[in-house]
This record gives sequence, structure tokens and C-alpha cells, in this order.
Amino acid sequence: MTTTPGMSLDTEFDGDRAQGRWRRLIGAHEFGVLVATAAIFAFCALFVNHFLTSENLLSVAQQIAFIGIIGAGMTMLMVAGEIDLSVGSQYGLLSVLMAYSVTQWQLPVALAAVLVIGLGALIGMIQGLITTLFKVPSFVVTLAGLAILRGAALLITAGQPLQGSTSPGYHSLVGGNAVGSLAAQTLWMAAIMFGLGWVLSRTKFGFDVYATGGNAKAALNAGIRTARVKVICFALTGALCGLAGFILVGWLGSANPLTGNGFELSVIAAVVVGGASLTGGVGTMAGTLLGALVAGLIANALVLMGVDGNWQQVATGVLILAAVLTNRLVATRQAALH
Amino acid sequence: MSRIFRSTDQTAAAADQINAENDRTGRPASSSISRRAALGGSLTIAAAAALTACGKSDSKASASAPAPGSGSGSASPAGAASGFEAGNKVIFVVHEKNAFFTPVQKGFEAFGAAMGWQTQFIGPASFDQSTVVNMMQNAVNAKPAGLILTRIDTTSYDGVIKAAKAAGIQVILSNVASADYQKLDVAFVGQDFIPAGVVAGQQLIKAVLKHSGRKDGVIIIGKIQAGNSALEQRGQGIAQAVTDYNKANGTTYTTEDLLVGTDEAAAVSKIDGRYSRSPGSIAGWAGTAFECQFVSTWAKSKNLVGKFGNGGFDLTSPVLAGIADGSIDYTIGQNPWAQGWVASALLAQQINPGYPSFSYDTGAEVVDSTNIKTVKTREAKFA
Repeated sequence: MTTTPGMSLDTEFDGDRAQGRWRRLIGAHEFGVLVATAAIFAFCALFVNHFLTSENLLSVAQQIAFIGIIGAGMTMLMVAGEIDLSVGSQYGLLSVLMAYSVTQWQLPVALAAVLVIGLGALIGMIQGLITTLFKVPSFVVTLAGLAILRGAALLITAGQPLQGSTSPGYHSLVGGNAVGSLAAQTLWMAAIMFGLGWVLSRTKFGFDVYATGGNAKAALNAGIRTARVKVICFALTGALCGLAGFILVGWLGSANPLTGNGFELSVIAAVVVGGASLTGGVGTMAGTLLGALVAGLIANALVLMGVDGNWQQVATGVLILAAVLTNRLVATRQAALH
Repeated sequence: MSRIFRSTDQTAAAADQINAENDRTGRPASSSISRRAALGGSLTIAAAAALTACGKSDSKASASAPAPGSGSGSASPAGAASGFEAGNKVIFVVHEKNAFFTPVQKGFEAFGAAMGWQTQFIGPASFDQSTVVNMMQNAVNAKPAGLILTRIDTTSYDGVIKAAKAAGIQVILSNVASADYQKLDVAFVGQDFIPAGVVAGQQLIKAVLKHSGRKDGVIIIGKIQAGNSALEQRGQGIAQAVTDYNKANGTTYTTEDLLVGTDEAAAVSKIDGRYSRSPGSIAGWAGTAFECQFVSTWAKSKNLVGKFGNGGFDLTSPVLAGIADGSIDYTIGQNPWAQGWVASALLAQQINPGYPSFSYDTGAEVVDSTNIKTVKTREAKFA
């Protein structure tokens, strides 16, 4: 049997292509967190009772929905080289306003949703404008926002939880099960992350976001309006906080003024564990999803394993650190290759 | 420009770099990364394995922990001996882990040890509505025999309570139940908050009259947390007691809310700020939880002890120490031990043989200088 030269070339080409794909995979920024996620998942599947059931896994997917939704905006913001520490407070205030507008102002749910999402965008835009126009670091601006917005939530509610709408349609849209045990929140998260992932990786605006965070001066020289890009990312993050508030009130039927207390840390942790750089220019939606998944799997597994509450605090920190180190090992190697 | 746009196709760029490295060194870079990634993965698995050990040791500790006052942990567990509940998993989820819950946890674990249960006591370090719901959902997914939960508003936790019941898990509420909990067909072990607030208000007025004799002024109703229905109801009870006293005695006390939080330094600053605004206006400080310990710290630092009435709720050690040294006039106990122990006992009979539970009022015990020694001795068992 003889081998024709053409066939040999095709085989070599296919081999190179497969090797290229593999190299691309292991060279990706998310590879570390993918390995960490897979390791945690495998460990839980093997050793944790009641973990590997469809109900439990879908429940984990539901639990990461809010981190995923707000994390999508935070990813774009951090890729653009900024950060928003007020997302927990925004989420709390906008949840409270959602409940307030449907019960006290008697607004239709759809109109209330537009109101809170729009208000979220406005809050984000204002924070973005202060950051870019006055050259104040975003962590300072949004730290102030964190306090102001939480205070506003407490003022509106007089410190008490507010009832939301009892509309069954609203509840099933955001808090019911879409298919079987698959929660509607999970689908909302998937849609948002997929959509913004596409924007970030496939559009001109996405290129501008990476360019702004990667090297702002070079981006400006290339004609990119970096301040505008940043303000849009802030506004987008705020709008997503509004969307999260809309979903939360429909799901739980009430809003607490302390909703989202400390939530900014969970969101930032998911984005950073997912491979985004705090200095900008690096990060993807897939990485953030994996980062959120790591947090969700850890929280779930610790309860299923019977770990005591106090140890859970320690354990969460240890496991996140382990996941970040895994990611870092890969990133260090990549830097060496560059 | 290539640097600017590197992220538009980061993976391709990285692959190119790997290829270049591969060519330069003559060895596949992928194998090196894989080793490092595997090392990182191993690190994650090792951490997780250590946690499994934590979980196991926690369960063992629970099973052998002696009940306070029992004198020994060697007695055979009653439940295990009867063959009823041994090995059952029971999870207690609270809305926020703080010092108040220590005796609740001890009561829960003591009863669990007697029954041979695997007990788990969890809650977030600081309150967040959806975090608590998620923790409760994870507890349901663990398929325990029973769940003890705190329900701090009237709707948010109902879905998970219904899901637990639908899964055949026995549920009881403890510490805080909020309005209309009966519609969920669950019992509640805890304080009746408005009457307890009335008792607190009466004690505070007694303390104001003792210290200053004044018949007017502001009574500050302190709160450590917003959005907690239990604290709001206690506050309502305090305000009601003040109104009732004014009507009956012609006094003109008023009330004012002050949110101080749980961080002592921040709370002391807020208390000082309110005092500085109008020092002569304040007649007393009536906490809805353990805020009186912060007022005590502040008053001692300003040499103002004895100028106002000061009291609150709960039997935490700083509060009891304040009563012992005279910087706090009273506290209202709610028998936290019972909120763990009695809730567990009622849950046990729900699990087997299957009796429905009933609600249990853990009372409003007044602790002041007359009984502080006895109470301190009792509460020291939970330290």
C-alpha cells in the first residue's frame, strides 16, 4: 500500500490543526480556572454525597445567577481598567426601588423594571463621568457610591424589608422554573453572559474595551474614545444591577435594604478568579462564568460536606486562593512564553 | 497596535507564543503548562480534601459534645440507645452568625449529641438576603432529616421552606419567624417580640427615673441591623411602652431610632455623634439587641455612666459584664439555649414518631443588678 503525497499533507494538516487547538486551549487565560473548576467538580462528584444530582447542580447554577449577571458588567468594566465597588449597594437600592415602585407607586411590573434598569444605568453613568472627567480613581468614587446607595436604600425602607409584587406572571418570568428544575434566573444569566461575551469578543466596542484597559494611551492615539468606553461600561454594570434587582424581587417577593451587603466582593472575586486582571486589558466572560461557578460549587459543597459555619469562611478563602494560584501558575508560564 | 488588540484573539496569540517557545526550546510547552496546571489542580484537590477532614471532625465533635451542665459526655446517647434518630443529619441555618447565636448553637449541638445526630450550624458572616436563601437551598440539597431556620421576613424564605417540606424534610423555625409563618405549617421557638419590647421599654423608664428623675427627653431605640423584623418589633414594643407610660403618668418622653451596626468602633462613633448633636436631650438608650454594650463602652470613655438609662436585649458576655459593673441597667433574655435545644427537641418528635410541633415562647427574662450573679454563672457554661 502506498500513500499519496496529498493524503500525507492532509493528515499532517489535521494533526497541526488539532495541536493548535489544544495549545490555544491551554494557553487561554481561563485555562487555570477551568482546571480548578474541573478539579473541584471531580472531587465533589467522587466524595460529596448528594452532589452529583441534577437538582443540586441546577440549584448551583441558579445560585450563581446574580454573581454572573452583575459579574458580566464587572468583567467589561475591569477589562476597561476600572472597578465598581458599589455594585452590592446598587443591587440593594434598585431591589428596594423595584419593590417600592410596584407596591407603593402601583407601577406595572414592566414599567418598574425599565425604571430600575434605567436608574441603574444612570447611577453607573454618573460614577463613570466622575471617574473620567475628574480623574478620580474609580475605587474611590464607587466606594463613596457604596455608602451613599446603601444609605439611600435604608432611608427609603426605614430599615424594613419591603413586599414586592405577588404577580404570578412576574414570578414565573424571573423566579420560576423554565424547563424541569432549570431556574429562570439561570437562563437570564446565560443570556446576559452570552450576549455580553459576544460583544466583548466579537465587536468593535469589545475591541475598544480591551484596548482601553490594555493601554489607554495607545488606544487614544488609535482614535478610541476611552472615557466614553469606560462610562458605557459603568452604565452597563449599573443597568445589570437593576436587572438583578428586578429578578430578585420577582423571585423572593420582597426586598431587604441589606440586599447585596458585601456582594461586591463576591462579584470581584468571581471576575478575578476567572482570570481578569485588576489592571485592565485582560478578562473574558467565560472566565467570569467559571469564577462564579467555582464560588458556587465551593459554597454548595461545604454545606453538603457538613462543614461547620465558621470553617466555611476559612474554607471559602482557602479554596478561592487555591483556584487563583492554579490560574496564576498558568498565567506565569504564559508570561514567560511572551 | 498588536499589543492593544491582543485580547481580541488572546487564545490564538497565546498559541502562537507557545508554538514559538516550542520551536525555540525544542520541547512542547504544553506539557510544561499541563504539569503546572496539574500542580494547581492538585493544590485545589488537597485543599478540598483537608476540608473533608474538617467536615468529618466537625460531625464527630458534635456527636461527642457533652451538654453543658451534664458533667459528662460519656453517657450513651438516648436517641442512639432507642434506635430512633442516630445518624440523622440536622442542619440549622441562621441569617447571620454573631455572638448571640453561640448558646443557640450549643443548645442545638447538645441535643444533637444526645440523639446521635450529625449536626451542622451555618450562616453568613454578614446578612445578605440571597446568600441566606442560597445557604438554605444548599441545606435542603444535603437531604437532612430536619432543618431549623430563621425567617427574618415574610416572603423571601418561604420558597425554600416549601421546597424542604416537599422533599420530606421536617422544618421548624427558631429565633425569628416574622408574620404569617403559620401559613407554612411550621412551628416557631423564640421570643414574642412586641411584648418583650414592652417589657424592655418599662425597664428603661424605670432606669431613667432612677438615674435622673427626668420626665421628658428622648429615648434612643438602638438597632444593630436594618431589615430584621424581630428588631423592628422589639422597637415597636419599646415605643408602645413609652407611649403608654406617657399617657398614664403625664410624662413627655419621645423615641428616636438609631442604626448603629455591629462593629463596635463604628457604633461608638454613631452613639457619640448622636449625643454630641444635643447632649441634654437624651434620657436613655434602649437597644433592640446588644447595642447597650456599645453605649456602655462609650459612656465609660466619656465618664457618663449613670447619666442615662441604658439597656437592651440578649445575654452576651459584654452585656452581662456591663450589668455587673453598673454601666448597663438591664437586659432582656430570650433563652437562646432553648432556641437551639427546644427547637431540636420539637424537631426530633416531628422526625420520629412524627408528632406535629407547637410554637414555644422562650420568654422575656429581665436581668439586672438583682440577679446578675446567677445569670452570669449560668451563661458562663456557654463560654
